[in-house]
Amino acid sequence: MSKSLAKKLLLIGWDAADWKIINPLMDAGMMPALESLVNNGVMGNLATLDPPLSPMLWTTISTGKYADQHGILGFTEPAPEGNGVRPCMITSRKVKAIWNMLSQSGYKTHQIGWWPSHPAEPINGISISNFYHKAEGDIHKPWKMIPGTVHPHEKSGLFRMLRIHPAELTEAHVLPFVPNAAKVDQEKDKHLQSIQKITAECSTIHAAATWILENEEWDFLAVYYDAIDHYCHGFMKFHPPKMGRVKQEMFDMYKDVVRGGYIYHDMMLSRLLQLAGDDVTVMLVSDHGFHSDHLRPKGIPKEPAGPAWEHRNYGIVCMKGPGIKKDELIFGSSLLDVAPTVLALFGLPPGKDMPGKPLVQAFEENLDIERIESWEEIDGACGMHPKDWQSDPWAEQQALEQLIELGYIDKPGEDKQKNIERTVNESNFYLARVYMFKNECDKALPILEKLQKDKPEEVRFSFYYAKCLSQLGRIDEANIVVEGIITREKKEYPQLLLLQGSLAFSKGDHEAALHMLMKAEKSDPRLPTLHFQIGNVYLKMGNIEAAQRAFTKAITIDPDSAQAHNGLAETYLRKKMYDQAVDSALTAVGLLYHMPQAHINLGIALARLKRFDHAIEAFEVSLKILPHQTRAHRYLSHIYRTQLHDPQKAEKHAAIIKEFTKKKDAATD
Amino acid sequence: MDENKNKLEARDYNSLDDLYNAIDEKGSLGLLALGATGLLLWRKKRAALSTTVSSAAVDETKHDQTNETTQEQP
Repeated sequence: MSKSLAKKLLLIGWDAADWKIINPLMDAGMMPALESLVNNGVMGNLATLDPPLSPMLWTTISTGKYADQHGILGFTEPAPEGNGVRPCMITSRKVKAIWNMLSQSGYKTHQIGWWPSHPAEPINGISISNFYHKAEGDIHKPWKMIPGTVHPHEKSGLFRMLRIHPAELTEAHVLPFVPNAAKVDQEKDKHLQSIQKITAECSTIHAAATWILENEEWDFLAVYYDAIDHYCHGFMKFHPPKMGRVKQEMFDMYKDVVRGGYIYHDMMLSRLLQLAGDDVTVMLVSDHGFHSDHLRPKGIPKEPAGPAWEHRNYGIVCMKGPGIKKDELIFGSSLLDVAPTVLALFGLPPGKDMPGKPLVQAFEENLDIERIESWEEIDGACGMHPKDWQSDPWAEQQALEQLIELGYIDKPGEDKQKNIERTVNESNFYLARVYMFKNECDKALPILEKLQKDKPEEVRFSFYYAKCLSQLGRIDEANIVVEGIITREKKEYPQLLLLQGSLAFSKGDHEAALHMLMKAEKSDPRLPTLHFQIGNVYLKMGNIEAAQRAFTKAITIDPDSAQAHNGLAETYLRKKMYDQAVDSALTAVGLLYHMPQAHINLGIALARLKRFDHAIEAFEVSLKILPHQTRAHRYLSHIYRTQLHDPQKAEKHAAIIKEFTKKKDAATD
Repeated sequence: MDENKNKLEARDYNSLDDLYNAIDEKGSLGLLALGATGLLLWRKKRAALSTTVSSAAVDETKHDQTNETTQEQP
């Protein structure tokens, strides 16, 4: 066991929290609790994963694993015995969560409301499931507590009492969000009810968490608040600056709701910090951000998980506590890093099967962090359910209705079989996207091939199939799929034009690529990745100045585009401006650590500046993320041979290149 | 949002009694932000106030009845 920095650790989840909203509020002194956390600790972006769907992402946060490893693949799953569909349940999680690992290690561990966490797991402490705070029905009728919501069961009565029904709230709770609430015609406009519901639900979670902090022994407590995501999905369209399509009177009425939601979370955070005490390690994270500016989508696609289009690629991370640096920024963090960091803070080894890294840059001292093969191989009571656990379909139906209400899933039809099929298709689609995100397109391809064959009317399936083919270098086949979509849909979406441009680029037809990309720009000039792709084409055409302009434009539209910063690094490399190339590549990896190409560009720039040790480090990181890149091995071999005079290591990398080339040739034959 | 109005913390009060005395029937976001303590205190106060209101209503009714009775008397 390594040195433990944390005596106690409070892990707080704020779904969809985003620095873009928080920073101005902190600057204005409106989020003093978070400001104190940040000033006494570290803060940074937390890169999300694709697809950015909360149950998958929060399970990645709690397990340190990708969704193909942890098994939560969307909002819903087929119910046992072919009985329709149900919300995703914790029984579908195939691996241990952090509270299981800590429970197993003898820590007093509590978990409240994580998504998904129903039925509550029998951990060494209190576990409250994500079905706990969902209020249904009339306040005057009994509000049933769903069986399995609380572990241990004896505490159910107590926590039942701490639930807050939306109808219990008064105008005093709504007016801070909507000062002119009295003018709202509540027969026609249901927004106030929505605020009441969101506020009551997160206050219920908060009441449970504070009760535990005040009354129970604890070493680790994880609490998840979903309300910021819900305030944002409901009211971000009214957030300043006013969007063109929003009516002035609606803007005036609801423009303060999102801001109010954040301020209320700061008030709750203040209480959590007060109860936790000064000597505790606190980690606050979100699973993704939420577009709040000119990047807000003009409309939400009518497809399952459509609201996720509003999500931004970067959530937040901040932490403070003993041994954590103060008032510093951290870079390159990802959702995958949260679980390994929690383990490292307790002096426990992360598993080698966790793709993330402990955020050691946040620690004041260098810790010797060892890894074990896997926590899954450690036997003993960890508080997970037995595999054959069955759940209550009545309860699941209630939670399903909540997801329908939020627009995350469609209302299931009468035909149960059809619903199951739809759910299975969705899960498979998300699984394929996980594989694509992990650069494992060979695994994604057969899934997408089947989906687009079975459901040709679903454009997204065919679109991702074409993208996958393209990433595998099968450009002609990808083109056929895209043409098929255009013929069927009888129109050209900007995203399709962008893909066509990328395909033409991959084929080396730069003129055609530019033509398509310019067409895409005409229909949607702010399309994400468009200007980045235009820059790539110009780079390939040798027009470095035009490339630089395109990448700069991409950064102007979205300053957090890691790809655009990496593109800029590449233009600086071409212009032999190596210091600037290092800066841009560092910005890129700071935003998105899991981007091998940016580490390679960083390595090349550092090598040109004769900073060989750091260059080697950058190439090694890129190979850790994506092994078998001949380019990285080639640079490493060259540096070891010509600069560091280490023929043995040079030969090792040369041999890898040879072997890889041989395999590639054999595959081509 | 009026932040100052809602910045209500237990430590701002010398005791829970002080906090309890400051609570009105409608509650506040600040009370909810205090979590379990704030919620339970608010409910207790609300119950007490409604009892007081009920008692006052009963007293008022009694008073009216007395008056009516008085008025009936010559």
